[in-house]
Amino acid sequence: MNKKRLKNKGVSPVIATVLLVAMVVIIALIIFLWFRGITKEAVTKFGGTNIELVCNDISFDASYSNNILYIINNGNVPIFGINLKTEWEGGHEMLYLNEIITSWPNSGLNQGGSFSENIGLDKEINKITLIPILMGDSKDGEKTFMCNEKQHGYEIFIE
Amino acid sequence: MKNKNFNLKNKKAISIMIGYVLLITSAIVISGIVYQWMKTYVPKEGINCPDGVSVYIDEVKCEEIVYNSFLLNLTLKNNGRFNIAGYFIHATNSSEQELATIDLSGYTPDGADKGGSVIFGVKNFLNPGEKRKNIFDITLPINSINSVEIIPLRFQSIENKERLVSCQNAKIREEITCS
Repeated sequence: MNKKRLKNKGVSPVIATVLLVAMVVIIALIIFLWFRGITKEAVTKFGGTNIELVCNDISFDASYSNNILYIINNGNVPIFGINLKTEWEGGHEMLYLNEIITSWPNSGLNQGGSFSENIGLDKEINKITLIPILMGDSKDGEKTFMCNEKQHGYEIFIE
Repeated sequence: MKNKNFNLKNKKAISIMIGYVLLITSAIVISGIVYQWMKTYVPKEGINCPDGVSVYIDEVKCEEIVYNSFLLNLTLKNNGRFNIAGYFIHATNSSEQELATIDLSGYTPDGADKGGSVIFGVKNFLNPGEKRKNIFDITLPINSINSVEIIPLRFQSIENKERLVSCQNAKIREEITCS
């Protein structure tokens, strides 16, 4: 019985090779798709510069008084949008300025562009952080990118 | 049985040549992917004005023509080391307003349809030491001006394209009374 089993061949070498190659291809494909999901897609601006680096060149000033928010873009990078983080005792809220204010320019604040509007915040706000959003290019077309809050956020403390 | 084991040991897997080809190909493909991704992180020279750009307000006068309409005469002097092409001009209309956000460029002929800037021409026409006067014919909704902020502008060649560059480091502010 044992002798008989030993004489029996398993899978033929050709089939084994085909199976091996197919398995390798499938596993490589799965790893590639997974890895592509966890790495960020490169969004660029100004002819191929990563948008994270462009965030360093943003220069704007802002102030807030009597419910009116004032913003001026002093630099050479157009600011497409602003995320507004409002903080009060015991909580915070993130607002997208383009959505709550209709007068925000459609193309954003270009070089030298300015904005002032009553943003109607009804809570006792202690601090406002303005986080710039840029428009960049990616493989799928134009894409917005929010700069890092800690590095590029503009803080306004309200007394 | 012995014979069979001997045969198995003699069997080769992938040939050494194919092994090398696969190894080199995969190394080239991976390095290509990593290069494409990493090259966007190489910093390029930013869009900046040279350090020696400087202007100051030589003279500013405000005359009321009729009620709620006045002329702002502003003379700007280039006291820097570089030619300039124009400027951004913003104003405040109350003493409580910290930041000047009212754009005045549309109220002077040099600033009409120039995208929010006052431009003297197609080149950097204002040479060092020269003055330029602009008259702003201001009407409602602006009924007063407390201060003006000016940021000089320059045309600079960046990657073979002429671009208008804002010189934010040379920004100036002047308190005025215009109402």
